[in-house]
Amino acid sequence: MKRNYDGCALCDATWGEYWREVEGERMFFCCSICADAFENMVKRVKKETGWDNVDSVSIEGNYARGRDCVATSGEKKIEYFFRHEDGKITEFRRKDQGTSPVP
Amino acid sequence: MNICPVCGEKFNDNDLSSLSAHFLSMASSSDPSHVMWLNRYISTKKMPQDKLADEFQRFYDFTEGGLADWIKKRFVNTFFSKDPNIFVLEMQEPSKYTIMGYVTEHFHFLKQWVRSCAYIIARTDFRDIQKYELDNISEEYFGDGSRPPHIELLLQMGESVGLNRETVMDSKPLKKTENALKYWDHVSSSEHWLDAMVSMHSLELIADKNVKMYGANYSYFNPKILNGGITKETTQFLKAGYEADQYHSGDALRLVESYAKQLDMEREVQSYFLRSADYFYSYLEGRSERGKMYEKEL
Ligand SMILES: [Zn+2]
Ligand SMILES: [Zn+2]
Repeated sequence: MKRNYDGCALCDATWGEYWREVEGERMFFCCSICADAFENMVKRVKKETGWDNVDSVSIEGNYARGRDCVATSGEKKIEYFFRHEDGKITEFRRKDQGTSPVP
Repeated sequence: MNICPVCGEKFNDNDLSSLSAHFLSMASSSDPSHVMWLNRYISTKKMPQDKLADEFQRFYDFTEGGLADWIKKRFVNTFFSKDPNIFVLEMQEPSKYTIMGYVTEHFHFLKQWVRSCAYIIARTDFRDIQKYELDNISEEYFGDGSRPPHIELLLQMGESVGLNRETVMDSKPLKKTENALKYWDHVSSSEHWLDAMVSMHSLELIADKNVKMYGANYSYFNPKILNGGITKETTQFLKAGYEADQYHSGDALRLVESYAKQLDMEREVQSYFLRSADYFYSYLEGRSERGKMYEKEL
């Protein structure tokens, strides 16, 4: 899965040493809460779109602000906003219909 | 002495080297709350211990404006930055559910508040501190004879948006609130009275009119609410807090600053403030969570 962060897949932090397999790929996280949040977020994207797999996720934001994201699967794209608390998604808002092609 | 602002572990030095070593060790084992604290307040980039100790020195440095000023700036940075606490965000345009959540969790907070103030009175011999706490208890909890206490105004605010007081009084606090209350009860009953004082009264900064002077991007609520809120009781409650808490926290922090210096407890007071602010952050999330529960239920 293509990501925009080199550090923790959710928050880009380089503290910690927590690894978890998400979508068949071993990923680095700063802590288990970020891993939970990322995993639940990917699950939610798949549920919202009906996609079988997610090819890329790009994330912008932080815990307090919430996160604006773009995810793709093949030619398909979804833009959304989400917040989490303790790794559970507390807010998820789609910004598009998820059918427009990747520009 | 200072304590870890996340887990409360005590360190018998003031130079922050034990604290930075502690954080580094907690971060290397990916402890979520320590990592999140570092991310939020220090840096998201991992660094060696000497560098981290320097960062902590910078973070804790209050030489510029004094201790009370440092507390105000840190508080503003945590709650009123451009990414404020979720409850502060909701209070800019509160719905009746936001108010219901506020009333319910805050009712439990005030019950603890009066206990904490009473503990402080019981555990110090300084008359100025005792008098300060006594006045505060009257205002918040019993009223001064001419005006109803804040807790009554709070319940009236709830009733004005359709939440009856029995529901509030019979409710159990949410987990986040309960954890915070437990912590404040512990600090007030078991730690130094000055640690209790800074832990409790720094929180009154939440309603301080003057936060904008300390770089706040938001205030507790949009001031236009005062010229006609959701209900007149909402306006009344918020106005009472707005007018009272700002002189409260100002006076309290002046006392804290002067006694911390006198008792050589400045570092300790800083760290207790930070830990309490962290619990408060999560308690405010609890108010928001309760509001959303009401929205779903009603
Ligand atoms: Zn992370
Ligand atoms: Zn700790």
